[in-house]
Amino acid sequence: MNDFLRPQALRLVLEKGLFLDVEGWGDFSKFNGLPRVYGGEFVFCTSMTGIEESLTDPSYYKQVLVTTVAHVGNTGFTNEDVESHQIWAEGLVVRHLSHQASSWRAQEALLSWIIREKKFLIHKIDTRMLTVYLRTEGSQRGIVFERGSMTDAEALSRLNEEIPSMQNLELLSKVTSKKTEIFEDKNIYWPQHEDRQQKQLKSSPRVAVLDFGVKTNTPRILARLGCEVTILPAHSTAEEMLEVGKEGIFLSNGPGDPEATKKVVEELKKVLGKRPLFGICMGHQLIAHALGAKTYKLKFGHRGIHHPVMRFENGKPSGKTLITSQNHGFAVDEKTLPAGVEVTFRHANDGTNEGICAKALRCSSVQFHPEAAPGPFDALFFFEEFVDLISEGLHRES
Amino acid sequence: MSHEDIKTVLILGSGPIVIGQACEFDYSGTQACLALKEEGKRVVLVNSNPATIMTDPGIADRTFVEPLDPLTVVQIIKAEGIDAVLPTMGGQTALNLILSLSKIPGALEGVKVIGANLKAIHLAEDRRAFREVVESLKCEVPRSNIIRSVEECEAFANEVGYPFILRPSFTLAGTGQSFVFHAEELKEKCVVALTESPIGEVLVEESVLGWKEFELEVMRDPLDNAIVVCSIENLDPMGVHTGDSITVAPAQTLTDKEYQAMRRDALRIVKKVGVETGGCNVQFAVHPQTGRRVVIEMNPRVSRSSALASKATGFPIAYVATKLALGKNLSDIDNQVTKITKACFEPTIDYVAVKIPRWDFEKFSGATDQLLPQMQSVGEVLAIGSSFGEAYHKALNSLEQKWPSSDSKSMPPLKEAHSKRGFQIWDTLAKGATADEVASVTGWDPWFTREIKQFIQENNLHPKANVLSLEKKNNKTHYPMIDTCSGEMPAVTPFYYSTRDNLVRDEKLFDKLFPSPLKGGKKVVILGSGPNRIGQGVEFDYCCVHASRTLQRLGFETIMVNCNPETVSTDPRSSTRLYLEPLHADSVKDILERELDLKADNHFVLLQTGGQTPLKLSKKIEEWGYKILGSTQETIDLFEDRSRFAKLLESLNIQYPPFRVAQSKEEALRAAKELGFPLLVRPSYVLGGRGMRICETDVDVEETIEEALDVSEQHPVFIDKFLVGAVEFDVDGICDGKKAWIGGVMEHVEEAGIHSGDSACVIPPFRLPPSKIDEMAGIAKKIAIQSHTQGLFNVQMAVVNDQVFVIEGNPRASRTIPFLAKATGYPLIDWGMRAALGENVSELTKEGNIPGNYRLPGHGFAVKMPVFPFSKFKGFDPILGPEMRSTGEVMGVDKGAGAAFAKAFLGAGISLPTYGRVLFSLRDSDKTKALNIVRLFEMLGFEIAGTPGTAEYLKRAGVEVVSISKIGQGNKDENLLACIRDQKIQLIVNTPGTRGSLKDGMSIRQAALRFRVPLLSTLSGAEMACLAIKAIKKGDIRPMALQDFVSPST
Ligand SMILES: Nc1ncnc2c1ncn2[C@@H]1O[C@H](COP(=O)(O)OP(=O)(O)O)[C@@H](O)[C@H]1O
Ligand SMILES: Nc1ncnc2c1ncn2[C@@H]1O[C@H](COP(=O)(O)OP(=O)(O)O)[C@@H](O)[C@H]1O
Ligand SMILES: [Mg+2]
Ligand SMILES: [Mg+2]
Repeated sequence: MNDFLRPQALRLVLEKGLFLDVEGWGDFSKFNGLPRVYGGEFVFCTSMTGIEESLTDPSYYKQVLVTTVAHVGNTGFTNEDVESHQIWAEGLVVRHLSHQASSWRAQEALLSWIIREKKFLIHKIDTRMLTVYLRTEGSQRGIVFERGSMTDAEALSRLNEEIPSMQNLELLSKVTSKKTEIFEDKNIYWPQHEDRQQKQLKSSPRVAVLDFGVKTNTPRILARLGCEVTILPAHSTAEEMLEVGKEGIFLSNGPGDPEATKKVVEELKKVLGKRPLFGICMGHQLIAHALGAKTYKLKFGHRGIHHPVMRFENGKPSGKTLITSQNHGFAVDEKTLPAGVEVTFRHANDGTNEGICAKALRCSSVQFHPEAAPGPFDALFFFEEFVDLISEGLHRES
Repeated sequence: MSHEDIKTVLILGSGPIVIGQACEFDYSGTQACLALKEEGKRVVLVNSNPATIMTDPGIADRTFVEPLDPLTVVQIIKAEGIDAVLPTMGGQTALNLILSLSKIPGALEGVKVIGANLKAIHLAEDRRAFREVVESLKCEVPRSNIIRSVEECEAFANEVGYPFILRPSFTLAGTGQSFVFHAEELKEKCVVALTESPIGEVLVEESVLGWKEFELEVMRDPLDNAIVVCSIENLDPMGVHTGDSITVAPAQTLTDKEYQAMRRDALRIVKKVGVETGGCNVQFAVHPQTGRRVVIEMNPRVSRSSALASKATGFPIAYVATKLALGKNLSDIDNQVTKITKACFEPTIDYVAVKIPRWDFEKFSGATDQLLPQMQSVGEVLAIGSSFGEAYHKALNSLEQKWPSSDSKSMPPLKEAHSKRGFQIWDTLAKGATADEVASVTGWDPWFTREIKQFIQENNLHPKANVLSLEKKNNKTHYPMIDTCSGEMPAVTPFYYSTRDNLVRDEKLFDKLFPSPLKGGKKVVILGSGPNRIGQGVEFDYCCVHASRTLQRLGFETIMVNCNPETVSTDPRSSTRLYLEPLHADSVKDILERELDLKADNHFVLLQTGGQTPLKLSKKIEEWGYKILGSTQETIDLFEDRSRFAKLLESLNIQYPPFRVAQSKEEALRAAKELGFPLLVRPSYVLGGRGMRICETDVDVEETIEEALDVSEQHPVFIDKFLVGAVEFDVDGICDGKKAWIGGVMEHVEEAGIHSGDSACVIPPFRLPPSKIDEMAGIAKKIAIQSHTQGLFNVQMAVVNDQVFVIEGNPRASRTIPFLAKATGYPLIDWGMRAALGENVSELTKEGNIPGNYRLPGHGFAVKMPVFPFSKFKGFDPILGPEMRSTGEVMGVDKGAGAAFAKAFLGAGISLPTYGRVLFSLRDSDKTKALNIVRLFEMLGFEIAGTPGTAEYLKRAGVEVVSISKIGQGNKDENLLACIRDQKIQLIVNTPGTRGSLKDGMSIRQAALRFRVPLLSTLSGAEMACLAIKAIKKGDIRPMALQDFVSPST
């Protein structure tokens, strides 16, 4: 093993009192005279594939991913599979790391990419233990530092000073794009078969995608369904949204506490009813806020690509279940939903809200990720429904 | 008919264990019965295999141990008022059966086919229809065509080139499948493939040899919700049947994009084919360098891999599939593992599960040890580890096979897929080959070889490290739970695997989160029987599962240890706690330490229900200080050590065949001189008569002794006086240490010298006077009492010239226990366990009223008939001998002997003719004895034919007989081969001779196999066939439920 690959002796300290000697990689050189640390909210994720997609998902900003799957890095890294231009998660905790990639598409090993992106990776840890710990004690902050560079007490105090708690944390402004941009599909590897026959339209529906930390697959799907997609910064005004999103407005996923994003909610209230709205994840939560509902923090959230959600029709389960990709730590409080807003989905395991619809306002949203990446495509039809809705009137007369 | 109107459901079983269809269908069928009963349905079951748990009278409401043939099933449907048939739990057998039923006018009138409808079965099973479906979805398939003649095949070859693959439609486990590499072999292979297909249709297909193979397990409900329960990746690339491949779950070398595309295709295909409800699988091949993905096939039913996927994930596929078949939705069904969530989710796992098949090529001398697109393995193991390397290591150690030496000259080269390559790859890596070298030679993805290499290095394991203990690191063993969800939800199903990984843990936290089981209470650790192999199969799983039920009823916690994913015992519902672990001393020791208290009086280890596997551990278990339930190590040793057993017999004045012990060729020859020929050479510490040979001359002894010594691994070889023309018996009983009770005396149809497991057997005995039967029962009792047996036991005897010889004894439940339990209707394992715990045998067996002379309580006849895998092994001469070769068995029951025989033949797949021509080709010693039987056939209206020598003899004895020249002689179009091929012979009786005539006989037997003409290789078998044909001709054969059969009143 060359030196580059030799792991360093590290220490992991979690907020509620778990202390472990671990090994891993990262940049632990001194910074301003202090030992450099990594930190964030430790969350577990049960996906068995798709680590590149997850690490580059802006929703993981300020978080450390604990993956449950036994081996990570088997297929290495390829920039065909990233969902944004950088790794947003602080770091990665895995059980077994594959040092060499084995895939016909791999460009380099997972680890060298993570090191290049200046993130950290810990391996050889009992992730089952850590997961069940996070499940029972809740997601929590933690820091990672060079072993021996400070005491656990010092580490805890740095944790409290430097690492913000997720509750009430505003992160959208950190991850959103800074300027308005027309989306261009770089046409990367896309092994799906498209079932759908493209509709013949007079012109392309114009959609504004509000970027709260959007994953590339969202505008890509909209574009493939024939939309003209414009990406807008998170803090755009209602006027800007209406101007660009002539036919519809799409609210993306994103990190942080939806409660902490009052300004965006105010703007959203102004567009309600004026355009069809469709939101996912953070977008869903912000639509709920705009409608007057509230959100709350989940103990350990839902992160993974095997989450079952049940569809509801007229307040009753329809019997339809979808397997979905999820990544969220907050949820919409159904008790606070105003009249006229219907629950469309609930998580099949814990019954938390997964989707709402305000028909009169042509506004619907889901907590899970129909754009997948990573994850199954069971819910892709949402995009199709949305595009059908906004294309009304654009159909070519025949 | 709506699902609510369904009151009575018929489940079709899968019949005898054969290669490609093993006890996974006992597991699925048993789960199906359970699920149907939970839904309040009346369950009727038909399955000819008595060794199964599903055929226990208590499992279904009406149990038919009857042949799985359409006419039988039609009668059952009519007689039992069946509303719906569930054909997706019994493998290919059940699917083919339902298709045949659908062709009989009126057979399925008013009967709903649930699970998969006929249209879906047809679409999935007919390779051409299936391709059309796949292509309509814009998915790729290998280029191909359907052919019905050699000419069509040649046309295809000219277009696509070589190699290509021939795949007969409607067959099982790749039967008849082969690659054609060049034009010269096209014709022969094509003809075989055409005959294999029941509809004379073969798919010819572009070869995708060397591509990666994947399989997804899919479930779909009536509302069109579909989930993938598990992805499985084959380590051996395309070209080796999935059933013969080493496989891993979950898939390891796909990116999310590739996996999701595959998943989506699988779901689209399932929906399009229209598998309405239930489980099925879809197989894919992926080009390793381009990612091109093609669909290989789908099975619209639960399968071997769904059993594997159930055990690897904890998701009970067959159980859920049955509920779906009744019209429920995934979201209506509870997740059995968490109890708080529903079945509509996809399991996610945080460990790695590795399956390695087990083969028995050694038993088929002449057969080539080469893995093909046609399955040849007889069983498999599943091991779970924290990493792939660990799981792979555990799997190798679960096989219970000697670690083969990779230097030996008999070891095939690494580049060919063969039965020992799993070990060979390990050795080669351990000895220094690089992971990439091994990957490129074997066609494995380098990820796997790298992980194995890394595991070997990190744990400092040496070549042949066939020990599980990673001593050097002294790692602690941890037991994570198999919970379907990687710890995301609390799980209640107590199903564990062990790991000795060296991961970072907070031990205190670990113990708090995952508390060890309490040491108090009454507990029994049950050791299972490991992978299926010839000689030890599903029957022992039956015994273990029953033992668990009984012991639980008696207030014990039962802790099951087994590594065979096909079984009911590895269903977490079969015990209080389940460990999916190798039956290796190190793993067992860890589990005993975790579960049992050495000082507790009511903590036991149960060995006597798992066949020979657990008995091998008895000495160690005693040394470690644990209590064995029932017969102690002392008793076990008394039976297992042949010299001690002989002394015991002598002390009781019981005869046994004289024997000598030999450790070299010289000693063997000396023994031969002392004992006189014929002799039986028997290696020790083997199962199923492995390496056993009959010797008639010194030359024979010289030829066999070497192999025998090798098989015995340093232990001496026994040389017995061979008993010529003896009738063999199995006697099963129960003893409480002081008193013994005999449950049955079973007479073998074939004479001693043909392994008891390969011989048909009958209750009650019919060839000997009652006094002899009583004498044998008495002998068995004496042996049990004298040896202080506690629990179940078995004694095998042979009778010649009115004298009884004891051949062997087993201080455990025997292969015949399930058969006997079904024939008598008595809960033998239940009583056996209670006797082992000290209950009084006379009290226990009070209801066990065996009528005089060991007839059956229901006054009928029960016949057990073995089935053989000969058609799977090329180049092997299908004759019977003291080495067991059958993979499974069927049972025929009826109030009349002839009908019971007829049912057994039919169940075993031998359809006896009622008219036509019978060919005799007999060894000299049989000719006189055969005359009676020939006359019987004449009387039944058959025309008699013979090979020249036999015909000559029969003619002289006054029989009207046609002489037919042997294969390779006479006129090419009229010799035996031509007659067999052209269906001019309906039945063959061929008793194998020695030397020269053996070779002639071999070509007859192989021709019979190839062209599916029923073949009987013993005179007693032929006699039995006569009785059966007589009963068939009389036409009074009706299916009979076990519940009626065992009852004396009907
Ligand atoms: N076109 C092909 N080229 C190479 N190997 C093939 C091809 N098709 C099938 N095989 C091999 O044959 C095996 C059995 O084929 P499959 O269609 O799964 O039949 P079965 O019904 O017996 O499972 C596969 O597991 C694979 O290894
Ligand atoms: N001395 C003998 N004479 C004739 N046949 C024998 C003799 N010993 C064993 N056999 C035959 O060999 C078979 C296998 O022998 P057995 O001792 O039962 O071994 P296993 O442990 O494999 O069951 C028996 O079923 C019987 O048919
Ligand atoms: Mg197959
Ligand atoms: Mg025997």
